[in-house]
Amino acid sequence: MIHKSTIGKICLFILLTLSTGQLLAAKYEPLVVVADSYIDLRTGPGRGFPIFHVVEKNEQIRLIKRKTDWIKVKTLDKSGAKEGWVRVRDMHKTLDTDGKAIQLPKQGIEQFNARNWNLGFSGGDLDGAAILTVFANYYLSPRISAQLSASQILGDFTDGYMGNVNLTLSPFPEWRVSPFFTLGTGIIHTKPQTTVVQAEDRTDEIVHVGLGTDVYLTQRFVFRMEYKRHTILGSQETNEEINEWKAGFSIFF
Amino acid sequence: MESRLQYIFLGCAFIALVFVAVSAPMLHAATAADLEQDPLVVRETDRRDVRVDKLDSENFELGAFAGMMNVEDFGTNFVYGIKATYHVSEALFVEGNYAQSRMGQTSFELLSGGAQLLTDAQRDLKYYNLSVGYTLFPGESFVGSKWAFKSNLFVVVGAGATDFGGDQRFTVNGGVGYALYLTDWLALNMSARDHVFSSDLLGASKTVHNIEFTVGFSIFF
Repeated sequence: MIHKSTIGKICLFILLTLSTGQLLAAKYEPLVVVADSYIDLRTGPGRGFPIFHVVEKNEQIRLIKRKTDWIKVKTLDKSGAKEGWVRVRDMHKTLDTDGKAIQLPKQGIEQFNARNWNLGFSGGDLDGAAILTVFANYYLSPRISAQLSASQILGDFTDGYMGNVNLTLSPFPEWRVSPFFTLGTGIIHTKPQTTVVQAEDRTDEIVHVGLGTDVYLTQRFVFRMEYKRHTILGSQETNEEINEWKAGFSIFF
Repeated sequence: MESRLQYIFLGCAFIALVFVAVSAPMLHAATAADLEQDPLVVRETDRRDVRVDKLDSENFELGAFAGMMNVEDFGTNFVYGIKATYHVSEALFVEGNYAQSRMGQTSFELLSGGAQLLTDAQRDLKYYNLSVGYTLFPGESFVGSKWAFKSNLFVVVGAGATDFGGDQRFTVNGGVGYALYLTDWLALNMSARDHVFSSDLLGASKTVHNIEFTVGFSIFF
């Protein structure tokens, strides 16, 4: 059974997105001059697409838009403007109309060191149960970030949720394999599964310490492995300690 | 008690590390600031620069899909959902999916006459997953003699949860798909995925494979 309201909302969303895309007419489409001996134009934003045109030195081209590390450009040919795709790093010698080098975004590991935000997800094991986590890091400095994470716990006998805030310290942010330490706190909520007779729902405070490593892979893509030791405080006589192991991916901005 | 002391100790150690890490770049920043030139002049040149990161980018993708999903023992049923994708590079992407379906009756329920394994509400299936994808064979697909569209085949693998039969299950998914780009910003997608989780609804716990075929549209922005 499809809910009519759900479909309505999806349609409305698509329409809104399309209309805003079309309405934003005042686009940033700067004119640049080719300073390299030539630049290849490809039919699509990927290394496998065929080269169909070559723009020569001193010719002007307009930059239209960007898709991952490719830029769509338009030539000013009088015989008919051509549109094609150029790799960002192939434009490093391109100048603006004043003869000044254009500013390319940071490439490779350079941008990893300058990251402000890191968003990711991971999967792993929390004391025998499966755990799925989404997380966001905000970098206060290259070495220190504040992290917010939300997890779903899927065990054989109990399910639950966990939310954490922590400080993450990465002593070597310039390394491709960059280790980090975390210290934080949060809450954990667990409830028994319907098929198992067990104690009632529980909500407890937790504190954790952990360590892990980010591995810079490519572009804005990072692999992360992490271990945390949680101490569950509160509703029981003794504090229970549980281990969490997980691995996942993140993208940074 | 011992563990609390451990935390206090670790906390102190951590704060000390943080302090060292903060103070080192700050010292460096102060000397850099001294060397900086008139900020007004810098600002004006910045404004005129051609900056590639200011260009309109189309790395995000939002889409809706619908199709058929088979859940082992519960038949094949209509499924519909939404997806959000971020394209990391021309080949790599990460995506999130959320979908809903409604399960039919098992053979046991049909043959027994009146027995019901699940309540009405427990037949609603919802799943979400977060996956990593890789684009294979990018190229062009030809439609007739006049049209050529960019297209690719992609593979995805990821993890998530399936809420079904009164329980949430850790679910691994993987599959293959085909994307046909009607324009730079509009794509037609087809995909076949397997959702794998363990189920004890029919007694003993077993791993079940649930195949899903969907077709959908997505827009890039």
